[in-house]
Amino acid sequence: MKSSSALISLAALLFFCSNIYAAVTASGAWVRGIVKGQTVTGTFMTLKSDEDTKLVSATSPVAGKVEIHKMEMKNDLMTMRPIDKLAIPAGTPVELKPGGYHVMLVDLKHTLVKGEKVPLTLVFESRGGARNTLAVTAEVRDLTAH
Amino acid sequence: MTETALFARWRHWLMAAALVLALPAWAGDNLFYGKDISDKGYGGDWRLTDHNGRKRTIADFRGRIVLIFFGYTHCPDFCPTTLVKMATVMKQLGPDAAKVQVLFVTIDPERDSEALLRNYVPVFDPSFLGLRGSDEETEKVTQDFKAHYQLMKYRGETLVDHTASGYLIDTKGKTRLLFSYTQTADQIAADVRTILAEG
Repeated sequence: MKSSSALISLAALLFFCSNIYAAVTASGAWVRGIVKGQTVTGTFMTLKSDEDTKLVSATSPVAGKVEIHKMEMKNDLMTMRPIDKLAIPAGTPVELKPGGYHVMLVDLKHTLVKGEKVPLTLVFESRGGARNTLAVTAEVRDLTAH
Repeated sequence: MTETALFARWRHWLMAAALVLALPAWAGDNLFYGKDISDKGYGGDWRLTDHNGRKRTIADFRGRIVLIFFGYTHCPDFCPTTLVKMATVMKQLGPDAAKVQVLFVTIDPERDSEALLRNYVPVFDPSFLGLRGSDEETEKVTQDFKAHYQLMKYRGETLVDHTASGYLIDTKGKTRLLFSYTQTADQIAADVRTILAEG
């Protein structure tokens, strides 16, 4: 009886350990400014986590849809594709910057203006499958920012 | 002639020889940072409409150097970076910038209306011109430059692949150089100056 309860405690402990939320931070978040008529834009930032985790989705009240994109160059051919997840290894900052990854705001509900603060909710999934969210505020920069 | 004087004379020749040998390594395999495509049949007789509604062909830009690129305004990443790079080239050229025309050809004419190009392209430099055409005209201009593009629908979104290279057309309308996306503003400005110096 005693050993089985210890076993349950251990199992419970293991369960919770595997579901510990990674503490993720986002820094330097910015959104590329747009001109009237543009309906999409990219958001850039640096993500850092103390545990292995992955960015799996995002939402923002300014966009109908938010996606994680990867830009690649293959023999001078530019390709851009949505990806299902972006791995954030423990202790290694992952930069989302022009020429690589970005969080794409699709179907923008209004023309973003320079200086505007765009709220985003990023969803991360830990190794055990537990999900946690991070609220990020990204400032709108010039269209020509880089 | 003393031995020292002889060496001094030889030293000049040695230095000249070393410079000549070092030159190709410094400037790539030829005079340019960009790839020389003068004899590769790039260019052609494309026709497009600029962001002010004016019909354009390469003949309109005779006497100026043209830097032409393909892209689309819904590109959050690479296209603005290229246009910023071109604006840097113009700044570096100073007064010579007046002899250069940057053209941004949309490969997404369905979404890139004339008005959108008019709002977007001059943000980077007021002298830049956005060009668009019908689907056939767009197909034609990309073929003229042996460029590739592909628009795909995915989860209700348009995904675009396109050639990231840029092209330099000389003052006589001949396509001379191909720039890879890795080429810097300094290198492109240097090539523009080299071509301008040809007269």
